Amino acid sequence: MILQNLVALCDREELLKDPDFQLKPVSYLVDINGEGEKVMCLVSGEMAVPVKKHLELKVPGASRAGAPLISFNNSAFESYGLKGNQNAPVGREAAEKYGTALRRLLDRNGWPGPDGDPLPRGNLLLPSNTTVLFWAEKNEDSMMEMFFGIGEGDKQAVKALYGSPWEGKSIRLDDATPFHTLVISGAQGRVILREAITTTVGAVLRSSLHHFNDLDIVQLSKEQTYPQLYKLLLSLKAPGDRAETPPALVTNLHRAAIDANFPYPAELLAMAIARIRAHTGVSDNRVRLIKAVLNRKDRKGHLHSPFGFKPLEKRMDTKNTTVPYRLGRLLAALEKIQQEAISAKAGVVDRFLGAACGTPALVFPRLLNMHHHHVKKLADGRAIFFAKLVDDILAPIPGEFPRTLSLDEQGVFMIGYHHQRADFWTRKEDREKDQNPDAE
Amino acid sequence: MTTPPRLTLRVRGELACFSRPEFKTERASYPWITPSAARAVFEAVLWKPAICWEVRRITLLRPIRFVSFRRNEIKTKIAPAKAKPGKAEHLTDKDRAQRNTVALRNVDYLIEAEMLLTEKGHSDGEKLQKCVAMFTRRLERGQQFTQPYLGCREFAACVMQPDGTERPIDTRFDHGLMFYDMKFAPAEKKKAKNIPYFVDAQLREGIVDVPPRAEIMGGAS
Repeated sequence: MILQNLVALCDREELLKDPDFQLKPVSYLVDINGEGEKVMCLVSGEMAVPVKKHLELKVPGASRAGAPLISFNNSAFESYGLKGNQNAPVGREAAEKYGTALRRLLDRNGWPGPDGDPLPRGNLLLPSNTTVLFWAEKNEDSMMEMFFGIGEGDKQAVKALYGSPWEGKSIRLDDATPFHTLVISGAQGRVILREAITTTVGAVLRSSLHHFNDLDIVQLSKEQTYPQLYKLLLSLKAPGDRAETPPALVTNLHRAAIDANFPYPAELLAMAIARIRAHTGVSDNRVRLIKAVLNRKDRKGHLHSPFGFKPLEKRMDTKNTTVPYRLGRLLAALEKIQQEAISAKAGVVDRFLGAACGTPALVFPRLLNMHHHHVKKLADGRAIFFAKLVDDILAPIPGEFPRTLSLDEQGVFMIGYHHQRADFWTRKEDREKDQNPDAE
Repeated sequence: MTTPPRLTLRVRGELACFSRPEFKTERASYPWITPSAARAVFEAVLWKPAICWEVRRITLLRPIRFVSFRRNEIKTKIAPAKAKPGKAEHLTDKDRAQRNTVALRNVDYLIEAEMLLTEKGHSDGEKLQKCVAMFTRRLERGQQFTQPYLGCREFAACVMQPDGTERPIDTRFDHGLMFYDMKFAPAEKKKAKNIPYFVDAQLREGIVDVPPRAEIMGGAS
């Protein structure tokens, strides 16, 4: 089925039209035993002479010369006494077509179309030698560019999702044109097919919208960027860590991005929190992932916490009274108080973030004791402001501090912390702008 | 000419992998059971040289879901010449390759097949009726010659009598070509190869109609 769709792509984009683009001379694809015996081609269904070798594809992870998609390079892969590609007979025409379609999708330099203009890029590169190939069953360049933009977190593309026109045209979220995705990796002398998803253009656009909404969070830096899949995954590694991101995680994150019904992989939450706690810092991407995992998990009804859960917003939510959220905010407030009072080198956060979110009861009483000393050093106006803030934050917390927080709750803590910190950095004008989005 | 008896059974399992020939290396499954795998399920319950099964219809009872995982598998085969007692030594810990498997999850099918007499059955209509009764009895009692499986031996299947309450899923899907069956070369001809045949597979409201063998493979098998 996949091969047939690729053949259709080749025909539709007329990739083999120009004889200059015949990549290999005819003799390269030699029939299996030179006898010219015809068998049923499994792509076209017609009787054809099967090819001995399939076109090599230059896929990250495979050897330099490239590796074929279909190959039987060990005897254990063969059956019924058939050797090599006899196990999957494909006629020469079909082999050339699907191979060319794959090469066109893999190309990063601008594959020339039938009229000479470069065709839009059809691939997205992700960590762990993962390549995502995509195409829509329609000859619309702008659609392809848009998908590439979405994967890369390109500002224009994302804005188009939210309603701005894309290249002068408005996009249709109900577009039913079929859309195909292939996730492949190069390894062990052949190209491994990891996933093949067929959906519609509209479904992918709608899911991408959910994806960006789920990942949307206020940023501390002035420049507003949109999340890029590659960078999201990179944020889960310690700096200098050469270990490979688990390939399944890469595939599943991509899947969640294009299919809103698919949950974000739970490992993302654990890895992001672990990374933050390992002193690497509360980076935008990590916080994005935490928010996305939690919100989607809650939408599916899988998030259970004795403290309850309120879907996390982009910015600080003063109406969120769940304990983990408030504790996160509290830590950020205490950190700010300490910063304004004394410019200590080892801030309260560096030393206590991990413990505060894992075991609040052990840490917060001490921190609150300490903060009184800090507050005394502040000017009257600030002291009152902070005292009031801490009171407000603590108000909904009943009784004692919780002894431990579950992983989900730690995630909420981190978001609360990030939101409060970002709020301190928000200028008064911007805050008013947020409350009146129409004025924007 | 009386119509051949058509029998139905229900087969299900947690995992299934009907590997597509082109991605057999990566064990990527077709979206539903192949006619040949369906035939094998019938044969596991009852088979005699006098009869053969031809699958006519496959009904999907549960939605098509995939799951993928990796396994370390052995990559070579022991040569037939070496496969003798005392000589067949194979060090498996040094011979592994990692292979991905894209399997189907929680499959559930109703399969209808016709029981036909082969040449060895000598057109004995009574024998056919006896075999039908035998099959029904065995199915009811859960008797099987070999463990039925779904594509790969490690995915054991649960075979049972349908109880009439099964409902097909409401899906329509045009798959394109799917493996139908192998035409096995006669044993005497050393050089002849086993040839695969493919059929256009379409899912209509959860039902796949399978054309007869003669139509796809032409002539006697």
